[in-house]
Amino acid sequence: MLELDLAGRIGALELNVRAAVAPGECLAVAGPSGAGKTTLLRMVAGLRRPDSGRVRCGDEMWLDTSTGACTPPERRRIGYLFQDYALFAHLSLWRNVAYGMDGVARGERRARAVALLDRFGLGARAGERPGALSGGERQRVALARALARRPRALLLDEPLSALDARTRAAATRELSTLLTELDAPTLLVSHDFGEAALLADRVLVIDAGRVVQAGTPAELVAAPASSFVADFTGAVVLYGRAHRGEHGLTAL
Amino acid sequence: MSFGGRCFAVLLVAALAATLAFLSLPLVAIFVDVGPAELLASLDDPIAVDALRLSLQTTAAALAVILALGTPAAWLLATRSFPGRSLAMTVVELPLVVPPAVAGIALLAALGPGGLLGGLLAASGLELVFQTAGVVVALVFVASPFYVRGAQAAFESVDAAQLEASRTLGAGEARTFARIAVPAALPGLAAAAALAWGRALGEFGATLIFAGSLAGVTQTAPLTIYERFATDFTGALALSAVLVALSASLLLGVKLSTSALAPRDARA
Repeated sequence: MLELDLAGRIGALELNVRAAVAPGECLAVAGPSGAGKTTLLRMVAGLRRPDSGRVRCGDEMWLDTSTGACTPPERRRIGYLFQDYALFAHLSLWRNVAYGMDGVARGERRARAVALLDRFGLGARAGERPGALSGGERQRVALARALARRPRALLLDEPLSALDARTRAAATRELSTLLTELDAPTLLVSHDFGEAALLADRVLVIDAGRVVQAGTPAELVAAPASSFVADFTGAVVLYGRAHRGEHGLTAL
Repeated sequence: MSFGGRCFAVLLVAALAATLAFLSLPLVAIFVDVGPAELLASLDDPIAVDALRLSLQTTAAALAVILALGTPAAWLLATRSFPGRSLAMTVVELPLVVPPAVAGIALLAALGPGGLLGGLLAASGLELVFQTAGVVVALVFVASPFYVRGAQAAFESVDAAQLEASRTLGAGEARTFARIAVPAALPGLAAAAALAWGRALGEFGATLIFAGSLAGVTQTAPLTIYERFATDFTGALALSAVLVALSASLLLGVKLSTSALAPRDARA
């Protein structure tokens, strides 16, 4: 269980988000650009400190500003998928994947990394540098690298937005299969409700740092609580009056 | 292309040609004036050979000190904001604008006998003036800004997301520095180190005033060239030619190796 309760000021934005993600569940935090999504993810990872709040993963308290407790990012055991993947350009693919394997004996790391890359269809290219890869391939290496640590929580920052339309469909399928197999809680942020709905079990819609509605993707689409959520989930709202005609409702 | 545009293009090419001609002419002249026979003869001269050996030893020692201290210092300046950071950066740049002779006087006032720390140095049995160690001190003083500034710029251009990725993958700050930041910044670090080495190799004023010009002890190649110049112009030219060749090959070597080192796509 990943529980977070974070508050803080980021420039003009007042962030205030409380959420809990169950093991094996994928929660998406979705909202327009500048709503504080990436900042939220960075706070959970320990890359940024909130003004006040708590982050707890299972029985580990990662952050509690009331006691001053703060676990540095390298000891939180998270898998973080960066928006532009942040692969290490000077290391080969297998060394990228093996980078976070602290618990694994040195001699076994290469075999483990290649096996993991194999799962993502890139085992044969384990010796190459990331510079030669396409966007979709980079994402798969970044995912393999994040999973190689056996993370206690997976954090995904806009996992599909950097991909072109064709790669995106395949990547969505791969990622949703992966997420159903994973037993760690997953927190995903996205500016695209479609992306969030495809991958997540539940979605929190945030605007200007605050949660405006939470629910399953179907619930949000069926009953948006505000015109903002309706717009964001892609509903087409018609303005005007409706009256009953011969063939059902007709808009005027 | 319009007439005005063509004129401007001609102007640009002419400016570059004039700059190149002015910068290369004196260096070419050295090699025109010195025949290969004289060059070889000068290398037979034990004083010249001693001076070159001393130059290589002292610049290598100075470069080692600069790399060891300058690399972490540049990393700190590049990655943290702290009160006094711009002051620190100004202090680092100060030796660039201080005339070398002034640097020599200043080093004497600080570390010479009777200087600020002179008593302390004497008590610990460390002598710098008229000693080879003094040459190294002078070289570190004048050359370190070239490295620290370049290294800071190189570290600043490292993709911050890669550093954060390293942290989330279990590497602490020290390991992230050693395994991600330094390799990613390596081409820039090497170029900065080459500049610092080149500056140290040519150092004259601060060395002369602080460490003196004792043959075999503090007389580096530039000091020997100056001494020769009064009595043996050809000998001075020959030694100059060797220094030019050394510096040029150093610069070329770094340029070639950094283009080989640089990843094809720095922002993977």
